[in-house]
Amino acid sequence: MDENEFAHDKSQYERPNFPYRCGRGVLWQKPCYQGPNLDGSCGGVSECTPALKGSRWQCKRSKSAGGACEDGPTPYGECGLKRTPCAPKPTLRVYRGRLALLVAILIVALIGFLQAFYPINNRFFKSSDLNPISKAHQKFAQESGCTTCHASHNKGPGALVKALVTKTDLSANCVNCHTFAGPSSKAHNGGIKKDHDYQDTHCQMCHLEHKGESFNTKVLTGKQCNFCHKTKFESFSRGHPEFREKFPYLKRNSIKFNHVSHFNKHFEKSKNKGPKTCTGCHNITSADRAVRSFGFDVVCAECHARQIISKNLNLITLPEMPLPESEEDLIDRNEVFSFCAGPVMIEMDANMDELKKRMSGPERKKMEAERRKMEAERKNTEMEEFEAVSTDSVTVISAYLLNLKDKDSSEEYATPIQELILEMAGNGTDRMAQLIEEHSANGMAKKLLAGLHPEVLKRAACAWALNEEYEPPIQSEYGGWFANLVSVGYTPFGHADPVAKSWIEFALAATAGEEDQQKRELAKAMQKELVDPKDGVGSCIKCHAVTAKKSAKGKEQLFVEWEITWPELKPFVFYSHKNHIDMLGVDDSCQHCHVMDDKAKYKDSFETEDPAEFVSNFRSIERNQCVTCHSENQVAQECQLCHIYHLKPGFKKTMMTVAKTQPSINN
Amino acid sequence: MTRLWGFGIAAGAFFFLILVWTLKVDQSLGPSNFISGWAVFGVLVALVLFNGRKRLPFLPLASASWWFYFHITGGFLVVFLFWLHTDIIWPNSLYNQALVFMFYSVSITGIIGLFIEKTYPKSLTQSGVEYIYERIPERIAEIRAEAESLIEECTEKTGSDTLAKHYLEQNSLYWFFIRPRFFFNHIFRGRAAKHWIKNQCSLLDRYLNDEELAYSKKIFDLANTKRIMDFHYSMQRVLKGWLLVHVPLSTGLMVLALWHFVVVQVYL
Repeated sequence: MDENEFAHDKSQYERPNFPYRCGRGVLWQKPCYQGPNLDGSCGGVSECTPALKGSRWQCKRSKSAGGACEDGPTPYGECGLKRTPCAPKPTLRVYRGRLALLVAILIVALIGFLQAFYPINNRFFKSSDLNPISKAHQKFAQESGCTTCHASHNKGPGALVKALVTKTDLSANCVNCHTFAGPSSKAHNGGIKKDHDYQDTHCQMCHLEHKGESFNTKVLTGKQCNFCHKTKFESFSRGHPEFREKFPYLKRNSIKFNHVSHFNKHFEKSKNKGPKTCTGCHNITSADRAVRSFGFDVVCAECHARQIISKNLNLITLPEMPLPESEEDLIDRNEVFSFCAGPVMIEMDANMDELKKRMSGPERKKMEAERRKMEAERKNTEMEEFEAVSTDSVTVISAYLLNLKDKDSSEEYATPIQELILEMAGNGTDRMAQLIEEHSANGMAKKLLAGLHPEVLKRAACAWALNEEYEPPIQSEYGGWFANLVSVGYTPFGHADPVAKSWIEFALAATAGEEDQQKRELAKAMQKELVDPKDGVGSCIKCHAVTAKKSAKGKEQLFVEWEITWPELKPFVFYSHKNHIDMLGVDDSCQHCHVMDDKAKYKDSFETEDPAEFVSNFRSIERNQCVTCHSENQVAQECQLCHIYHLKPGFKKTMMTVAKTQPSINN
Repeated sequence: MTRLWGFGIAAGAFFFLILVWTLKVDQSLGPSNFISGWAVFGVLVALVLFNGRKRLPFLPLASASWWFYFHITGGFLVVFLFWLHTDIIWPNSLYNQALVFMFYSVSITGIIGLFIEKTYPKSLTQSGVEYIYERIPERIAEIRAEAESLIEECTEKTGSDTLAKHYLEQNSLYWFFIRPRFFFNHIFRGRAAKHWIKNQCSLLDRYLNDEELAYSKKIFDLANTKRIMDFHYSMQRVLKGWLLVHVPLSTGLMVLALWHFVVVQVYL
């Protein structure tokens, strides 16, 4: 390039920043020297602007444009080289700026248009949408749209600006539908340990939305758990803490079932009755976190049903009574006679009166003399030939109800027992019910004496009061209340007999909070007899565990575990037996993990009332047993496979209503 | 080259810093996207400042080459930051697709522009001459005028109008001299223009006498000069023209990014 070409007197200075270029140049002709004006008009109509020097106009064309022209200006001072004006065109820079502005305006207009006319749930172009929300949330957001979670949505520009400078709490909207058993803004809903300083959390820390319809908002990763937990580890197979001692048999069962003795001894003896495998008793069709056993009727009744009905309750026994007419003898036989045989005699007397009217005088006198003679003979016989019909002692129940210091001492029991018998002879069950109510909560007598007909007590008491052996009618073969020669008792109908259960509960409750030493001793004696595993009523305690708990009144009390309560399910842990059984097979899959421990002192665990002091007759399950399958490149081992983050997650009822009334999102 | 390495290392360090910060916030279950999002937005704004710098040449805001290298390394950096921010190559929703499409368009046009900026000037230098883009129309007009005056002179002096007729024939020399030709062939560094001129020359020479041949040679020398000028025009046009795509797309991207910023602040 010739450098002289750009000398100051040969070349014009180029200004590429100018917005217009000469229209002649656009048409590939020689552009004019002046070029277009800044406003886009042609600047090259004349070659120069002549100057008046003296009285003559002089051409002022610059040297770089060719110098002064030959013809020079007109006499009127106008340039002599005039041209028709061109149409200057914008430069590329201008076009670039215009295009950029156009694109910006188009996008702003599009956003504004969509915000104004398609603010909610338009399916074409959600200008405020990161991604579609998950299907699980779509139907609940249908009615209110985005405002379900985002309060500022569709509230106009003012709300948008306000939202820009204020902090929004999305988690507050989550709990409009979701419920937890603890505070939602605390880690694990504050439910693992009491008095622990839980970290503040919010839902979006783990649950992401707007990740597409098919995105599962519940899926978490191990690193999210590692963030809070002090013991950080890579995976279940690498670094997960070992299971605690005795896992998972941490608390004793409600039913005393010794797997070792049953499998090794009892089932061996009765090969036809006992099950061959675990599935003989445990119902795997409903297996989940626990594999519950079938009920008593299916599993236990074959061997244990007879034992229940063979263990009676002894309510009251006639003890050895004092001699008639002695100081301790309180029984007025005539009165008893009137209680017991009175109505019959009155009827007989009435019949006699009728007979007497028909009889002659001598006949009537003769009959009255014979009757007086018979009554005198009965009195003489009682005095001369008294022999007590019973040598038994008072029952523990009677002793407790009558508060007898020494139930074997006739001096101690003579008076209260005789009074009780007289009451029973007179009023049947009234006094007994009264005594029970005095020693228990209201309404207990109804449960304890359920099915006891007053006549059963009355007839037995009448006989005993007259020192006669009671001759009972034919007794029921199917259990229930009965009276025999010297006692009144109860035979359980079978398993879960309500009367037997009530008497055991009554006996256990009797010791709770009893401060009187004597009463306490009596209650204990009654309790010992009734809850005796072998001879107690129905032998209930042979299988059902007795546990100390706090009663409703806050007192330490013993309770029978009537229902099968499975070990307390930890709310943050999940385990599916079903999946494992399906995978490993039915026959012997249980023994993969549950291995019996022949040496464990299982039975001793039930000697105490504390369920935590438990020795299972299965060996603890160790982590390595699980790692056999749950490890890298094998079966899944994510935290969520076994652990649940939230404490009892649920939904509000209102949310359910919304779900029910809303049609599909696609409508 | 040293400067480029410097910018590259700085960009790598910045990305590493953002990556570590993002991972740390991510591990603490915090909104890690905010970190990478702000980083992307910040770098985009810094890249846009390059255009502002060109409009303010009088201010001592570092050299143009410094800004150029900053723009290049920043451009590559923002792509990686963008992937860190989005986690995915292509999103689902239409709005996000528009935003990402705009981002990729800007990135791709930027990379194409970089290729042009790095290769075309070398080709222009290799041509052996220099032409100022704004003066090319004037030079073409001068060459055309020179060629036409030669043809007039030839006709007058030789009394033959063979050359003049050929000049005016359709798709012949007049067509060639009237404006730049073979634009697309030139930008891909083709040889079509050269062949075309050679072809015109060999086609005409057999019909010309010696005197006319001398004029013809001069005219085809002018045609070759015009060809090189066309080459310069085409290359410089592309050097300036690719910004016609890159800059408007960048503006659109910034508008969408601003809206994205508003949406994130309002909705999260």
